[in-house]
Amino acid sequence: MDRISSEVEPALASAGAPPSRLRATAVKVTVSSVPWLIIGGLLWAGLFIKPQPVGGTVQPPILERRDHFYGIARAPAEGIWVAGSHGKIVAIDSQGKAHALQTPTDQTLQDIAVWDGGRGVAVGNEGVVLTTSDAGRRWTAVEGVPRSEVANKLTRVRIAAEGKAIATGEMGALLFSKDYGASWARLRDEEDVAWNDAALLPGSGLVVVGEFGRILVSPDGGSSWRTPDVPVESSLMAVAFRNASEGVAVGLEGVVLSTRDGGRSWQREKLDTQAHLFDVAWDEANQRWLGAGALGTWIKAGAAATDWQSGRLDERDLAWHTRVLPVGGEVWLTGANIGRWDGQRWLALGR
Amino acid sequence: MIERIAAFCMRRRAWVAGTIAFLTVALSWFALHIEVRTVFEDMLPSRHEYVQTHQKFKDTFGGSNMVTIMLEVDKGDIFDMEVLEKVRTLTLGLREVSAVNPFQITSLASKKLKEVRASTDGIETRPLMWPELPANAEELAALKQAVLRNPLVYGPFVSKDLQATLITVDFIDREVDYTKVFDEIGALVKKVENDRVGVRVVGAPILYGWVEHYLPETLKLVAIALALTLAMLFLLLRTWRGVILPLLAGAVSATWALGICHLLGIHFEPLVIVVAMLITSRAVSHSVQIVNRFDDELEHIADGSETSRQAAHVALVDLFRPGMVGVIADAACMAVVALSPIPMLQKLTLLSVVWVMTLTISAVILTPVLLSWIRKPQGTAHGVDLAPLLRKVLDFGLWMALSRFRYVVIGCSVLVLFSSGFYALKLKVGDANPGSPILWPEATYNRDSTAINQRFDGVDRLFVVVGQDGKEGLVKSNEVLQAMNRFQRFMEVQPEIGASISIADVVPVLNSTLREGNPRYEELGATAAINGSLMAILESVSEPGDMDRFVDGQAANGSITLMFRDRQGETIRTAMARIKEFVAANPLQTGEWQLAGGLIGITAAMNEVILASQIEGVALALLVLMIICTVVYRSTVAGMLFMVPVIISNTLTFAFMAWQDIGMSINTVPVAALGIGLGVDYAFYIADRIKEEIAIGTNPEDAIRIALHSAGMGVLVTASVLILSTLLWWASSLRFQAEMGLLMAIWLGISAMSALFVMPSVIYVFRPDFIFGRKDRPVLAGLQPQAH
Repeated sequence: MDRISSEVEPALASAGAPPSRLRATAVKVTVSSVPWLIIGGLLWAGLFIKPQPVGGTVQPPILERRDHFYGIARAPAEGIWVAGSHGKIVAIDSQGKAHALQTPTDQTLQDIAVWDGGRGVAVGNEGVVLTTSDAGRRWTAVEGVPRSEVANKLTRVRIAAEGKAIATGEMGALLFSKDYGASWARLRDEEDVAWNDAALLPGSGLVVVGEFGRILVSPDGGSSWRTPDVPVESSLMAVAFRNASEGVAVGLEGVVLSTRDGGRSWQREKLDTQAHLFDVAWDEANQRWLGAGALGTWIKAGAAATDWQSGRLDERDLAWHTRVLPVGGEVWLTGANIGRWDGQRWLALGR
Repeated sequence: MIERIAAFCMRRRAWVAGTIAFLTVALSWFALHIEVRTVFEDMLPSRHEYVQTHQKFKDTFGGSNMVTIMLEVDKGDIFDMEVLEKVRTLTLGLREVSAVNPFQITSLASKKLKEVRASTDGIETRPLMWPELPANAEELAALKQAVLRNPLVYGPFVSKDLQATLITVDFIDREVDYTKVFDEIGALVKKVENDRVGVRVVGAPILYGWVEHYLPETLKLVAIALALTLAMLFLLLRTWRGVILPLLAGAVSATWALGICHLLGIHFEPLVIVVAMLITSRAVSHSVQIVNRFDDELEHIADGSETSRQAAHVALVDLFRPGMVGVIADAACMAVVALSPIPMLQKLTLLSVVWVMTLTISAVILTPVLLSWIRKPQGTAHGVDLAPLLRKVLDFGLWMALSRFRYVVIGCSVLVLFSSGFYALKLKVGDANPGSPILWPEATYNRDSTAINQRFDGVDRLFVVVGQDGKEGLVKSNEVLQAMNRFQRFMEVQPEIGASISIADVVPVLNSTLREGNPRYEELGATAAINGSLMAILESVSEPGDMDRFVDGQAANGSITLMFRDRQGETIRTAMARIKEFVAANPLQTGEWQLAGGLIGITAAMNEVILASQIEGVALALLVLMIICTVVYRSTVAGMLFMVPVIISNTLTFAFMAWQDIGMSINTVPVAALGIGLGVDYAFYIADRIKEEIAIGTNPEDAIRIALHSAGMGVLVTASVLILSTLLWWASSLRFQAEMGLLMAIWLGISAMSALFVMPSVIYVFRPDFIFGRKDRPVLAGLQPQAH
């Protein structure tokens, strides 16, 4: 056995009383085993310690980069609700702060609508319909929604007072509910056309628009249907009315149609863009029509719906939007991204 | 034994010197022809899972040598004939660059970027801008619209603000010569660059091209550092021998080492010039020690014809053991690095071990042999004498060791050891800053890299492969497409990952196109049947090679490419951990996940290897050191004692690296490993001299004084000279070299300080037997060679 120092050790060993042989040996053994312990420790560490990489943790943001939010509605209290990819419904308050609402589906939701009193409905892929009756705290999937064998994407849902709702979609889906979305019935038989939007007129009038420039008008809540002449063949994506007779429909390739007789006849309006248009809405507060579409396009016109203008929200943001929602002086747009537009400046929510 | 070697060297001094001279001349021919270049393949730990995936798929899904070129305009957008013309010129010009993989050039002007159009006649794909540029304003507007509609181009290849566009080009890894590629691409860029259109270039070949571009500057720095070293030695030692012999020792060992390595087929990496400098500084140190000892001995020997020979003999005998132990400890500690599975580190280790071992000849033997010929040993070459000043420093060390202050010294050392050790735990593996740590943040390369990352989603790539060999068409299956999509969504949550792309991104675009551009269909099909038919349509409209970026020839394997905004160690670790988390949670019924290729993939592999061997490297190097000391001094206590300066200099250096955000990477590992052996050299000379003095009966106080004034003087001279000359590196255009120079200076400083101030105190306080001799045994019972 090796010793650190024959000069220092005896001093160590005899420090304190009484000096005994046993104690001296103990100190000697302890001290001289230190180097061997170090050698052993180094060998062990060298051979067996293999640090493993530890990554940081990442919290997924509520609004993810790949999310599309196709639908938008005013939230029951304040702010808005948006619905989209993976069954997400997100509440966004007026400051732009987002928080996710729990939903029972991961199918992409295409549209959302909210009645007064905290009731709401959302529709989406695979015929999924969700409803809430407590201002979004709990969403439940509705059972027994009529289905097609072929395709079941529901693209829009429109509501009216007393719990009325109409949902449009693929394979001629035109579903109606009178009980805040709890039960649904077909208004028309299945057919190979996609209905993209519907308007519930005051009274019981219905106007439905769809693929290849097709429009349906019903004066009696869907019992009988008429097919007006339409001056275009482009698919129509959205329709909106400001009263029982005056309405606008928009569609692909910059198509804007207007009617002044509750949808019985349609005129094409002039517009200086060829971009696809996906939505149009009547802004009651500012007495104007507003619409949105592909490549960051906006369109607007006065109440007469004849003086259409168009432009880009922002030269550096060419995202598409499937919905516009006028709120006060501003407009919310949602689609590939979500943001507010005040007519001059486009403020997208940060992703 | 040592006595016999010394006697032989002195007796046959002409023969010994002649042999060394002959070998040096012979090896110099080989040394001059050593290849100076960076071989990329050498950096890869070839058995690592990631590297195997990378090697298997790099030709299909993109290698690690990808170069990204960005053209940008300040005003207007890139849809302008002048800019597009330049894109085309570059795209065509790149085909002529050496080692380019012509199938891996992607830009607006290449055949690979296409638009898919659905019309009444069916579906067709058309290259965006190939072979011809737009002929008129209408076609230009149409091109712009086509780009805007295509999410695979608008974003990945054309910036969101339309002011920049990318050209990416990949190389055939085994043929790529960085200097050539750098020069050729540089010439191409110069042709198109003007006031309006800026060009930025990044990628591994460009980065290492820059390193080689600075080679002349580096060599100039080496020359200046050398000149400064010699000038300082001349000033401090006041003799020509004190200048010429260390220079000769350094030159001989460099010649031998480079010559032998050339014969062994090893090339020289420009980045490791720092290591070369470090080893040369060891040669100078050892040689100066011997010259210094020689000068000391002269004072004790009366004038006579045999003075030089006798003094040289004594110097050789006395310094043989500490010199040899120093050299062998250096070499052995470095050899531990060879356990790393990275070929570059193995070759570098071989180079440095050979180099260090040559010091046994060049410094330990050649210097005293040449000293024996000195004709007029007494006298000085100039009148400036700084020795009194240096002696004051040494006296301070002596006072610290002998006064009560020695306990304070030991206490402070322990404190420094623990606090720096604790701080050193923050040391990170991998790059600690965005951009390349090899260059300064304001270097062109790093500015280019930042600019591209600002406009695009990231330049550095990692690919993960999903599939299985032989399972034709597996990637087209619903399960794989859905899994890819989920994976991308999961990964993109990490903010440093700018974007990701796979075949599962192409399908939604096609789906939406087939639905008249309706974004409500910009998603994967709901069923396997829909996805199957979408894939079939995609195949029917694409030409061979179009889908190469996403799937292999049989669609058995598909890639998901993640774009990284930086390659910091932390970013990569987090990404890899998340990939593994996802893979564990999402096993595939058929096929498997294969990690991970691309520059980030192999960087991850290198980082993991370095991390795993970090403890191993330090622990085994310390173990080797301890064993060597134990064997040489026949005492385990000696091993423990010499670990003190080593551990202090290591923890302090690691703490410094952590503080300065210098990460452990393939470039810093060898320097760090060298440091372990380095810390101990100076301590050997001091401790050995104390031991010798004690052995001839000097009392401990005098022994320490003599040791500090003789060996300590050598330590002080070499350390101060070398610290000054390594600090010169701070002027380097390569940040890596500047930081490593600083690191070396710190090392030299700390090890000199611990040898001069800490070791004497420790020895004086603990009185280890291997130095002081056992009290219960005769003092001279050890193996001490007796010189006197």
